Amino acid sequence: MKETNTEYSKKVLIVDDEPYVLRVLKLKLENAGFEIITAVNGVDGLEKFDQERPAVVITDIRMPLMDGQEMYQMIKEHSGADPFFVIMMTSTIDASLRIWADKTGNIHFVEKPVSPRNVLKLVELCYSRLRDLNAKL
Amino acid sequence: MTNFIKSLKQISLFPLKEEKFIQNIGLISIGVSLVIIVLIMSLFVLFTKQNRQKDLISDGVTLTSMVASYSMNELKKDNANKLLEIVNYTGSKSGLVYSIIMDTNQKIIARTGSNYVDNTLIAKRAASSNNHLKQIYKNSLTNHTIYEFFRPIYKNGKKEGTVRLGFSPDINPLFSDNDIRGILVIATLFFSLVPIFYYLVRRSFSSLGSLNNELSNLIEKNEFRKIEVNPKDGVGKLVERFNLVVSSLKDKCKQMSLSYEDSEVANKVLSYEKDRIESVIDNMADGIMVTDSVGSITLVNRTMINMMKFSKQEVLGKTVNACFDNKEILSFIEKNQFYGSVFSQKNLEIVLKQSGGENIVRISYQPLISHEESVMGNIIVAKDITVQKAAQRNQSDFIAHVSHELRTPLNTIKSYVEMLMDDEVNNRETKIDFFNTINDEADRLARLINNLLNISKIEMGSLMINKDLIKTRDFLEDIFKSVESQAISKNIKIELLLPDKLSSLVMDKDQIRIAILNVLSNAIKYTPEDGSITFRAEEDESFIQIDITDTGYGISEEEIPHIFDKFFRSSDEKVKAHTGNGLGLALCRDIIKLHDGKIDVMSNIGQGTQFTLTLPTEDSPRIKNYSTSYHSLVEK
Repeated sequence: MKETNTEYSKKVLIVDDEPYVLRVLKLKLENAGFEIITAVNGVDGLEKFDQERPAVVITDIRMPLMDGQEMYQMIKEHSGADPFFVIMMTSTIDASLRIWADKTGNIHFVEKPVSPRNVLKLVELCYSRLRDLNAKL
Repeated sequence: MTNFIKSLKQISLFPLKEEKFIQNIGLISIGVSLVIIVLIMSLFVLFTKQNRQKDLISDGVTLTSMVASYSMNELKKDNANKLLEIVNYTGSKSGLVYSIIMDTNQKIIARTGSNYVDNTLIAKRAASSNNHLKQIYKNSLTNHTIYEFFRPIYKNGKKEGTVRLGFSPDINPLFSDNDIRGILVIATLFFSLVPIFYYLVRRSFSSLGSLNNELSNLIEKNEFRKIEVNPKDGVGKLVERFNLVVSSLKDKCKQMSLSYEDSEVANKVLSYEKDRIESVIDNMADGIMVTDSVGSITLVNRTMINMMKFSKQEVLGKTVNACFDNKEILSFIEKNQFYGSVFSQKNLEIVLKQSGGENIVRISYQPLISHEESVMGNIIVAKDITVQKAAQRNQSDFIAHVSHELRTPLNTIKSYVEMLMDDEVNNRETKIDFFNTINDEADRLARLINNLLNISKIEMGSLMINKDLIKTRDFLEDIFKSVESQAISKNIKIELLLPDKLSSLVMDKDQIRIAILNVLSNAIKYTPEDGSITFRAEEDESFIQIDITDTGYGISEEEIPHIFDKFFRSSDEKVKAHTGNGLGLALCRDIIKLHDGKIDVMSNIGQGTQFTLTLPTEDSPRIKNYSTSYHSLVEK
């Protein structure tokens, strides 16, 4: 809460086992001025989250070792009181996934094939939300 | 029949003595006739003795009276002697031994006969009597018993003398010549009857003897011949009747055994049919349980028993509810029993934990309707649908895999193109890299689609194999050249080792190329820089063996059995760093199989892998048929 007023940490963690996705999203978001951290699976992602404490996490759902949903639960436990948003990239959003996401309140979905433009928009949306949350505080 | 024989055997516990009896009948009849003769003789003696006694008494009385009717005057010297001689003659037959006339002074006036002892006491007793009397004494000389009759002789009321007559019953012989002759005749008659009697008895008993023999035959050997009967025979009729009884019994036994055989055959057929139906039911893959209208179990097959915790004996007769402890099954059955046909759920799919692991079972409950359309009970069928479920799951897994694998390159292409369109990539080199990636991903997508198509074609059996004569050496060199540059760019030393001559293959050139290329490009993909790959072919009789050996990451022992599974990808991080869809080896295996070849793998983790593809040559007896059909095709 040191940088409450203007300079908010614009760290984004991207987790995906597909190297091309990591590469393209990293480029897109870096161009937009975000600081990007990448991880290749859920376990790796959780580790990086604990190290860097990003406010926004972009993740694939289907991943080896630990999938997106599992990682979300772990991040939620690890984050404590800090607000965070997760953008999940998935090919199909079925009803149960939607219900689960609605309950959490801090998950957005991006459908595959992923458009970097949409991802950027969502990341920016998340950060504006965070700003609102912090302003309220 | 057997009972009949048994009872006969019990009878035989009492030994038959008739035969001995028949043998002894001669002796017995001789003995009997002797006894009869002796009996007759003793009766005769008795009768004679009695008669003599009577004669003796009547003669004694009559003769003494006759002599006493004379007076002593008339019985002077000569008269008395003459009279006594007459008396003597008359009485001699009845044993008269002496006769005496004496006066009152006991002086003997006349006397005849001998055997008289002049005993004063006896003479005195005779002389002193006034009555007609008898006295018995024993002659001390001859030891004969003497019966003496005496009577006083009166004249005008005055006793003048006494007459005494002595009889001895022992003096005359018992049998006269006539008697002896008669007895001899009777005895001879009797003795001559003995053999006749013996013969007759023997003849009568001969039927009994053969009856006995046949009976023992019947008992011991269970066979009976008709007994030959002499109709004149005494026992003939009896034996004849016995023959009738036995033959009718035999007929009955035969009929019984025939009908018994018939029913036994029928029983065997029935039990065979029953066994067959039971074994059919028992060996059905579905579990079957049938209850009667009351709800108790009347039939259950082996498959069903295996699904329960009870044995067949424990289950039969019980209610269905007592046989399951699974709550889902119980409530399903109860609902069906309670609501009957109104209850719409006819099937229940549950997971049953069994000794062999978990099985998915579909249970159905249906009423058993008879021909008269009445409910006879219920039938419960349990079908193991684990395999179907697994297949269904496999199919949906496959679709999920495919869509994921298709989307991934598409995802890359779309995002990269978008980046280029948005002018996000300023660096020229990065831009070129982006274009290359898009190109590669489009290729990957095309490859994936081809692989998928080929695999599904092979699996559905609709892959057209266009067999072609392959000049093996050229073919392998060509494949080698197509991958050589890839290997060299990765700084991998790649070597082709081919013998000077290799037999031709008759196969689908494109398919085999895909199969070999899949293995070879895997080798290049998973071999780190500065590694080496050997691509070698050898011919062994009717096979060509292609070895692809690399110094790559290798495959772990646990993963080797799965590398040919569709969409299988190693969990090795080094492997996962490379793109792949897990279809290459699956397709390769399918193609090789389709060409009657085989594929083997040897691998050591961290050291490398060797794939060996064995393909039958044109001359291989295994594909002779193919080659002929190929030639005929070419000729056309």
